[in-house]
Amino acid sequence: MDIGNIIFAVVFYIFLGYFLVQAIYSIILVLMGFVQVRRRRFEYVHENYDTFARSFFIVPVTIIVPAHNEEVWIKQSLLSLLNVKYPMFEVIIVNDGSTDTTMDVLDSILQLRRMNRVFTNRFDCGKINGIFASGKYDNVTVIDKESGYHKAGALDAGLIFAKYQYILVIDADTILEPDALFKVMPYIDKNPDENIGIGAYFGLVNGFKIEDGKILEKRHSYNPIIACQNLEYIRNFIGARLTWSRYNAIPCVSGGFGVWRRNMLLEMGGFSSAFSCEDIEITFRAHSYMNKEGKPYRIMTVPFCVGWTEGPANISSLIIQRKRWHRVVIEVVTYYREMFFNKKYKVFGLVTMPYMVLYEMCGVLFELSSLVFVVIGYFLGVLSIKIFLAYFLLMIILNSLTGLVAIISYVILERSFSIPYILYLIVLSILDMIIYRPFLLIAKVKGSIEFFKGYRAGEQYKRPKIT
Amino acid sequence: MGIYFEGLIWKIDLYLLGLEGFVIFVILGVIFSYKIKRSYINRQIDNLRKKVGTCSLDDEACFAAESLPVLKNIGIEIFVNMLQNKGNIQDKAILAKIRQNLLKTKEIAEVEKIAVRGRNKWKRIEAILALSYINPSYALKVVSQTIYDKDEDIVSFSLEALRNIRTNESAQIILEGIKKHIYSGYKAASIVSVFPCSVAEVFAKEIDSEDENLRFWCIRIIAHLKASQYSSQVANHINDISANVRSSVCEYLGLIKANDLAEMVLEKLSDNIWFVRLRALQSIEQIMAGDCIDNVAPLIRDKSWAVVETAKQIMVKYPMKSIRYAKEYLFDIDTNIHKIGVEIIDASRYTDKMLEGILSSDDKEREESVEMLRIMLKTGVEIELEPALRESSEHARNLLIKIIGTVDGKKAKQLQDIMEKRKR
Repeated sequence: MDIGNIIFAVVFYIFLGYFLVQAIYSIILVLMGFVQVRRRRFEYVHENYDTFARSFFIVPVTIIVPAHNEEVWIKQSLLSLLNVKYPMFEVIIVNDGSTDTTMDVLDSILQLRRMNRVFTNRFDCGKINGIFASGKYDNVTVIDKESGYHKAGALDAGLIFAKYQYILVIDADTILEPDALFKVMPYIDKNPDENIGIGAYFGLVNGFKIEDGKILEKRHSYNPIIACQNLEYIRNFIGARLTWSRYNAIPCVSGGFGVWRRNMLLEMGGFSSAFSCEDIEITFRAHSYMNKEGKPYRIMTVPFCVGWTEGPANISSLIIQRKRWHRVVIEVVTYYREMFFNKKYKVFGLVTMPYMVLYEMCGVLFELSSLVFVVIGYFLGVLSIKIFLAYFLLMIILNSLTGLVAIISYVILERSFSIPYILYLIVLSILDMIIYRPFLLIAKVKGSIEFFKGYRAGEQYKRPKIT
Repeated sequence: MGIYFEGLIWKIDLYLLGLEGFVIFVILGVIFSYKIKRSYINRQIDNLRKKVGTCSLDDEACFAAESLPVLKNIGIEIFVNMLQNKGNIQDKAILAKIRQNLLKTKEIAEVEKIAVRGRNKWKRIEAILALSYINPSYALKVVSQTIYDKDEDIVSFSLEALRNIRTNESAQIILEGIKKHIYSGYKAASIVSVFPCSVAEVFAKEIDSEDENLRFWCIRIIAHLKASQYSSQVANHINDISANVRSSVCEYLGLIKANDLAEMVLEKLSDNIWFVRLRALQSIEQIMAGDCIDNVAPLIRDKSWAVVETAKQIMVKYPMKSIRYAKEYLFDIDTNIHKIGVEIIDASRYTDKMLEGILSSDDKEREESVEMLRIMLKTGVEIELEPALRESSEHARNLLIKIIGTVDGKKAKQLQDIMEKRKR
């Protein structure tokens, strides 16, 4: 065997090792998540929300909804907020310089009246043009501000006026379940001194029948792009994040639904508009801040479905969304690089951070170069199609096992679902690597290029009309 | 075998494919078992609903198993399901009938056995919870043991079972747990919060206990149950050696609105420990309402942020009484105190009153209002003047802009331009 073949084989096994570690790590995450799901499901079934609602330890919540050109979704989202069942909460909608009819839609539902409010703007979040109270709902306030400070700026504007100690951040296209707060706040209530943040699972609303903020029929979309994202959400929220949450090592409390303690946000200087996306950054910053301050803390995720959000329904929209997500991963991971393998940050520094660097940030490099490597190997006659297929099939099976375990967790948790849709997800979990991952790879390549070009916009894909 | 172990990898692939097939089989099994179980439960509940419609609740014979055989099919699991899913059957009388029926079955003996000696932890917890619904007296016997279990899940759900029972006996068990430091008082208090007020007598026995943790939680629980009959006994602990106890006494006096004991609470506003001051603040507001502002205002410069936050919340709640302090705060170099001043002014809607005052014929009022406007503009407070100006008459508007001009020419010019643009 010549030296060229040996070198080729060594490189081959380096790539193989890299991908095997990722696949096994993912399987371990979802298996541990499965154990967590059983426990949380049990708690959920036996939690008495009536009792919790009447308890004198109820924690009030401020819900902040940033909205930039959200005329399509804001009505449904707002109405779903008004349907939320919780004893004490307020809603602050921040119109982030919308140029469409978002403000008119809000006015038509809320009957806005301008208020003479005075305030001190301690954040760099742009000029506040007006504060409006609702003539119909006492607990709703609308803030109209100039755009250009990303979603973080809008959230900071909301923070200025937030009354309560716990802040729920949601997207303007999130349709909340009426009992969403009851699903998460009991966990805060168990230890408000330590629990500074909590996220939860939310699915994709595409295909659902919605009226007046209420979901009339949960008919999941069979569009493969949507269904693959659904599978990805299930794998992430009900698998990986639950396990990370168990070890207080969660890298991101999603911006679609995240509860944070206000005093901590204020002490940290609010959300930062210097990054393309605020959710992952604030989670990293919270880990960093609390560890540096030496304060005990916990950031967690619960697997219960708290709401639904609209997901990109075609490839170009998916790529726009995912390249931004990938860009922000690189931004945040490079910014907080001192946490990498830093034992001061415990499991977050020793496990989550290396995973973020090796697989989330640099994964695109390995994936691309392994593809090039395989092609070269084939043309040089070193790697036969049969060998390639054997290893590729191994990867597909390992990947699909992750999806399948996550589906079991989902089935145990939800109990009410459509059998054909679950069967469809099972098929997709097998095909996922062939029909979905290539688009994510393209998005990651684009996101990496944009990062190195210094591009930092928080761009959104164009939202389709609600059916 | 080559350098790439092709044959071995194909074999591994095959094994993994087999494993994958097994996992898919498990998923399908789980799905169908849930569907079948759910439809069985729904069918039984539907049948019950139809049958009981034909029975009078007083008619014991009708409800007997022979004439209403469907009761036989309502097992413990279905019954607990009915209690937890309120959309099913809510009629308490019917539920009581089913409960009586279940107590006669063999199934209950089985559940009791699992609750005491079950090997599977989760099955055991389910049995304990089911007993708390069906046979509370037996559940109390079991739970009085299980709250001392080593497993924290069993302890936690035993407390849930006690919450379902809600009697003096269950309160007594919770109290024993606090005494022995089995769980946090916070958790216990949260559970007792939904008990009837009468359970206060159980906790009142320990107000004078030597264990300070026990004193603290007993007073706190009694406070939230608003049992005012123990006020003199609790007030004796206002100078307790334990700060926790002092804070809970303040909390108690506030929650029962003990007007005659307000002096005691006022003294505690200068306690050395921050959370005693915090509770005293909250209590004094509950007792004196807006009249407490003069006592509360000095605490805005407290060392503890939590005390400051509470003092601020009280001042914002009574803005008109706090406004004179707010003016002072606007000049403070401490940005937090400045912000508090802003919030008080904001909450009081003082700007409307100030603009009216500027136009007033009363010289003193006008002077004061102009002075306030000057202070606000000078100290960088952002005021939304446009809506107020829009709603004013032209004469008033011009006068206002003129006065604003004496304080901040740029702002006046800006407002003038906006108004003219609107007019055009």
